[in-house]
Amino acid sequence: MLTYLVRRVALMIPILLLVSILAFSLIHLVPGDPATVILGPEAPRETVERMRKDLGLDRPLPVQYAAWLSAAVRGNLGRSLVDRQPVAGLIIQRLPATLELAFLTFLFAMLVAVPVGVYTAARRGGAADMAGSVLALAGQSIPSFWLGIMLMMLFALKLKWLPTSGYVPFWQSPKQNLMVMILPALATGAREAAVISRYTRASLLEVLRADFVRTARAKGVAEWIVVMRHALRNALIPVITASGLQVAALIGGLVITETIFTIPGFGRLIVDAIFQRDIPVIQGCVLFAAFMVMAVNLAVDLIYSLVDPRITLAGERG
Amino acid sequence: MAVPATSAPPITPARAPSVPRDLWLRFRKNKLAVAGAAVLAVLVLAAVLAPWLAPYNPLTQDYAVTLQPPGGGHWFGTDELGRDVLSRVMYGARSSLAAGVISVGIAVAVGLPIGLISGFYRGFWDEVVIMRITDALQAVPFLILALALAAVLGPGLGKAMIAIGIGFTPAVIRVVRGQVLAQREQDYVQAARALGAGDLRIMFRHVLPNIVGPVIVQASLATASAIIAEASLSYLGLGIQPPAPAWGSTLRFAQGYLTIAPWMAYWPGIAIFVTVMSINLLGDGLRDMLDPKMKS
Repeated sequence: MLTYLVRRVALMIPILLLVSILAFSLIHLVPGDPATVILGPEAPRETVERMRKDLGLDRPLPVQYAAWLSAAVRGNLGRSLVDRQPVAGLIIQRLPATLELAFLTFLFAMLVAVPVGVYTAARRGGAADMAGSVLALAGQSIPSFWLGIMLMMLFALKLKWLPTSGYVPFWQSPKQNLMVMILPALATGAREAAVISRYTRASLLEVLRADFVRTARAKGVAEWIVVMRHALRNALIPVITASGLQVAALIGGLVITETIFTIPGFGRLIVDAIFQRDIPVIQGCVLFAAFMVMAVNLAVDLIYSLVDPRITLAGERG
Repeated sequence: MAVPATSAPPITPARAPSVPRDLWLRFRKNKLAVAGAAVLAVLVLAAVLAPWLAPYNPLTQDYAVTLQPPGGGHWFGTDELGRDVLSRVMYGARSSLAAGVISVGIAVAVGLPIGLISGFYRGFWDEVVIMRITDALQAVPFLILALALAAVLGPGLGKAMIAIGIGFTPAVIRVVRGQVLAQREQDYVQAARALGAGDLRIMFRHVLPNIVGPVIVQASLATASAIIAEASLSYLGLGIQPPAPAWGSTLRFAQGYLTIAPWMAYWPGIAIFVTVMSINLLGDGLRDMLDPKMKS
């Protein structure tokens, strides 16, 4: 396991280096002089020059990159152009809200997706299966920001059951925090639930064709026990991997949801930085988002090997 | 000697269905896909014929009828500037559909040749350079990549399409490369080589037609995602700029009037949902038709 972990982390390094080049290049993709674009064409010449110096644009490109990367490796992602705060600090400050929302989204998705996936697989070809498939496709097709607005309209503005905004950290007021987080989690989780229910159904159908299931049925085991006790445990293993691969899409979805529900998370940080043309924050967020996706994928692979004894990780002796 | 006449009917060889007919028969079996194609056709027609079908100019403001509920002369109601919501939704279909098709077109135009060449030649450039770059691009969540690119390129439909196209390119490269790797060892490739065909000819005349099915499937499903991505960028203010009609930006402005004019938010969202759903249904049907192995 340790050898595998070291190898996987080593493989992450060149990819992170490439992402760092991409993030670093963002500032040079700005059409024209980045400092002028950020400050506006009316900015005084001295201010533009100072900005160029602040951003390191007065130095040769490889030197700029080497300096930026060496600082990034030490956890220094630069300073925001807007409030001069360290970018790494801003990300850490915003992360808890995003992680909590991601957790709630995933929890909701799994609570809906697994029963739906199991039920539709068990009733394969029937009306329930057809309805489940259409619902799953609808869930994948519904834009999360529109669903968020509709949920807000119904549960917050019309029924007044839940607030539209007013995020407070969980440790300050768990009740108010959860009240605020329910609608965003539902809005983002609908798509995740749809995708995971399709994976669950497909995986369960595969397992239901296996020999051990046939044996269990031949022994007279009740069908629901065959499905729930024998097949589902095995079917959920690939669902873990597939769900892990959803993380990148989930983080993208959270950007929009956090904007709609004014949750001060990582996604909102990116959106604010984009409108303020705060390039160091955008660069830091891109790099951090990629790191997060790769770390989750690695964690999913490790969990996969732990829950499925048949899996031997590369580098381990079978 | 005369051959005695028999009463048996003459034997005619059974005609195998042609490839397009065979594909159509397979597609037709999937009723949901047919429904998706039909709905999509209606949407495309509505978008193309919007200048003739839309009841009002989508930009014309009429302060006498601001925030009118659906009914009367305005089937979908009016917005805060008295513009007809139905007309704006119909015109919005043009930019959304164009954004979906063009951004995926960019991804295929860039990704297809790279994936084809990469998978065909393999080696250092494929495994060390191109695949690692696609790994890096795919490590960044798609919407964050598109947002970052849209931020540096500036707002606007064209730039949003480029940003979304770049975001989808790695997925196209991967699909094409995977297919090429499977095809390059096939007998027909060896046969073409033995007959003296050059690499370019083998790639584009022999391998490409054999991988086009999965690419079409991937492209159709990507179009649905691209429409949502464009609407997301427009919602955030990075896509089409007001006053031009776009589904995403209309929703952004509608959010300020949810209590007094909820219809402003209903229709653009329903339009996105119906469009994306019909493309997804069509994509599923195309997958069953062109690449049954991919069916789960």
